[in-house]
Amino acid sequence: MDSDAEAALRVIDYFDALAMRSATAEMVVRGAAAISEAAAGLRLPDGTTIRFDATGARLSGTADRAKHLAYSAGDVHAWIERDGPQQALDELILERFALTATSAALQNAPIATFELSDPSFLEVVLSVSEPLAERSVALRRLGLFPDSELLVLAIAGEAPGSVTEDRLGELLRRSRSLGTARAAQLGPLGAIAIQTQSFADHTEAALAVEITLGESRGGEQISFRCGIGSTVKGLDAAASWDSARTALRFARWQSNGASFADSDKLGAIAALAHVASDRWTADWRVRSLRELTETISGKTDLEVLESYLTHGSLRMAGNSLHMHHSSVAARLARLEEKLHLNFSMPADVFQARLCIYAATLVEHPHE
Amino acid sequence: MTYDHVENASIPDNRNRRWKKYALDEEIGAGAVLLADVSLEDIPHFREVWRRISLPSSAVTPPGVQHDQIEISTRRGSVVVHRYAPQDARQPLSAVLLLHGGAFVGGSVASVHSQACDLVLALGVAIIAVEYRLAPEYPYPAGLDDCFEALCWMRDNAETIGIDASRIAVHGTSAGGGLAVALALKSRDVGGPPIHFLFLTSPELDDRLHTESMTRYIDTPGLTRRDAEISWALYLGHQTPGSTDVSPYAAPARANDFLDFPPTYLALMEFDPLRDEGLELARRLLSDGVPLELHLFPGTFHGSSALTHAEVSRREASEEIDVLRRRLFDGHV
Repeated sequence: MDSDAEAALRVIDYFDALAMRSATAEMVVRGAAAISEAAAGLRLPDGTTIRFDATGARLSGTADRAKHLAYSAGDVHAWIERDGPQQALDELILERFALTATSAALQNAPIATFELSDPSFLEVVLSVSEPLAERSVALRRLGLFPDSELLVLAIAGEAPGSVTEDRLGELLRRSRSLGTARAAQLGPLGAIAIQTQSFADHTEAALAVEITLGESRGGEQISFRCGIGSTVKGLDAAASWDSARTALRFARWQSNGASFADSDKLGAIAALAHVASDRWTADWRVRSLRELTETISGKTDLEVLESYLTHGSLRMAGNSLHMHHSSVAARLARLEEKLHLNFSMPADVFQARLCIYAATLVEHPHE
Repeated sequence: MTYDHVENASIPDNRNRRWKKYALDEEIGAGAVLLADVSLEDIPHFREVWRRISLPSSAVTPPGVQHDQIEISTRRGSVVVHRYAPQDARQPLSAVLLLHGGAFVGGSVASVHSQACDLVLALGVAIIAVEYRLAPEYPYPAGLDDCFEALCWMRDNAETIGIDASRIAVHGTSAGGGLAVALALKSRDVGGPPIHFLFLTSPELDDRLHTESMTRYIDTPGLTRRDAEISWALYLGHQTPGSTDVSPYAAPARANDFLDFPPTYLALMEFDPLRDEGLELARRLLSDGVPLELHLFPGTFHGSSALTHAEVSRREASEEIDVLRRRLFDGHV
């Protein structure tokens, strides 16, 4: 058996050989797992997570953080999932692993991940009519995995086709902290596909999307509308894109920030999107609510109504709008008169909600 | 896979430099520094290293596999075979006669124990692994005789063992591969038990050592030309490698023909001195109408599948299962 010094030399030599032979980041992770006899993982600056077990089998991006022996080298985060006490060579292996992986990732990035992707690849991935084999190839070309979890965002501006490349690029940049993210402009909409990592469930992921994309940085508030699609396997990305575009129709434009609608949270309400617009506009209340959007005061009325329906109390609605609750009350009274509704009656509250959804859907026809 | 069987005082980075000139697969080339580097110059040392490497994996028999040893009597005495089978065996089982490698001078059933267990679990077959006699104490034809006895025993006792005598495949790696081919030749020629399928990995076939890969690969990882020289010298005993009196049952590359040979799968490693004698076998099998599947795995060396985590090794292993399943069960699961 090796002495300690010989064993250490062997570890160094091993990772040197991987570097010398220009191993990819994936090979380095596999090698680290094999030599440690434990699962190993790597997170790259662009959000990509790579994980393998000691037999060389790929693992999903999610891991129980508690068990990690971790090492960060710059933007690269490497770890070994040791079950039990740390072993003599672990520190050395980890250090070499992180360093080798960093240079591997820099050298061998298969695609420019910091820019918008070629729309044709993303189009194939998001198309339900493309054969499975084609979708699989396109996924790989984008650096995504067919059976890892993924969700798609549909992004729109105020007017149809108004999402600029810059805007989409900025949102892509922000998305990277959520996982491996790829974006492209598809027709009038922006599409962002995110291979999510380590979220307990979709609800957590959707919340992270809202927080991460919606934040204002350095005083810069990006206004956009966003539909969050369901979480699916990579090969089923089309389903997520579909649900994202439907959800998008429920996101009302706000001039002072981002507006999100999550398809999972919408649930059965999403079915309303299939009702033809002229059905909705046949109803006088829906027409009335639509008219509100034509004036600034009217838009505020609508926001107040939505906020009140969401929070259920004048005070909470007021807080969220930075408005005194008496102003809220006054506007609501005016709306009650206009719409012939009594907001203390559950049936009328439901009617109001339904009409707001309808007005929003009519405002944002399917793109 | 355990990497703690690291050996000897040779400083690792010399090997890295020595092997740099070979365009090995990235993972395989790096992994080579982790494997034991033993030559045949010292036979006891060679055997000891193999023994120690096999120790951890041979100590464990996974649930679902039953394993027992049987001493079968032969004309000259006896030979020990190890039988592996699924715990809930629905008989009769297809069977694989498993012949380990070790350059004819080393290795043992212990060194293929975990492979045997894996095959049982993956395929639901019976494995018979032979503890054949090793050179130089027992040069040719001792090892081959033992293997032939085992094959005959399988056919003659098929019902007792619980196997289907018409579905016996022979699986051989390295020297075991050479024995497997020799076994197929001998059984064909003397009217012995028919072999349903032949699975070969980097077989050792030719004592003449005249191929291009044998000439070129003097210092490849896993196996060098020098190792092959010593191996044949010890296996052939009193005969001189390369001389005219060497039997095709010792060095199957010398066979006159491969007519009526069983269908064969042949896996070869790229940077392996034995590569080209394997390619020559492939060519001759095709020429003699033998159904053949051939796979040369890129960037590999002799025995590199021991680096089980590497992508190419995983492909080798996965293909092995798929091929055997197809051949032993006509593709049924």
